[in-house]
Amino acid sequence: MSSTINVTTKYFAALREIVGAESEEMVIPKESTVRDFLVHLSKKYGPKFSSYVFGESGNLRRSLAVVVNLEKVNHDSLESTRLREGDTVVILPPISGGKIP
Amino acid sequence: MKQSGVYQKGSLLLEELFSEIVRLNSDGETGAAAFFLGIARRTSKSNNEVSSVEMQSYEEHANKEIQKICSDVKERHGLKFVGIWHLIGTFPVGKPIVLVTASGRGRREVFEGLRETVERYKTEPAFFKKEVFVDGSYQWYEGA
Repeated sequence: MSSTINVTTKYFAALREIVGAESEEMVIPKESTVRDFLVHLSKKYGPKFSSYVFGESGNLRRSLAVVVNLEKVNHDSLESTRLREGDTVVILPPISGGKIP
Repeated sequence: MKQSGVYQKGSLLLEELFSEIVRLNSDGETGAAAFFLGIARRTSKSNNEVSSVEMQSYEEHANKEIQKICSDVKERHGLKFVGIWHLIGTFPVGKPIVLVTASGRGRREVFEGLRETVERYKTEPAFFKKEVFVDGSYQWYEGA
């Protein structure tokens, strides 16, 4: 059995500019959590990505949201939500009206 | 008539939708229809002069949320129809970006439904706005 899974992510707004792409297919370790995935992206894309996504506490900024397969993952659940083969994980920047969903 | 949702600029003319909506409401049971047209404005909230607005969207999320808003508002306010058509792309100042409509038996529920629909489309579906200023700088909208 494979020890990795394939997931898709999409980038919007400032994140799209930081990464330089609209979307990406990634191979990550099986059993990765959403937080693991965010850390993986931060290591790949460096300090600019990291500071955009994480606050000083090292947690996901309150102004951002993460959705997995179109369902929002609560900030409290990022470390416990495991990703599965074929999942689509998207970091949502602040929505244009100003409030996060 | 195209269903509520997200459309690439150029693939849907908001001006033409108005006629279709009027036809939709011609059954004799509908007594009121109200409209909101969102337009790219010259002055940003930070008082900078805007030259254009870019709208991006996580379309799968936005389409799902738009359908949910329309269905929810229609049911809770007892309306005949609620619609949201939101364009994405780059828009010069003065160009329309989004059309919202609510129609029903009377103006009270129509105005209430329209207002709620507008407030909700601005916060629930995944749309992202960049204002490009006349000096070439730009800003992704980061909060109310």
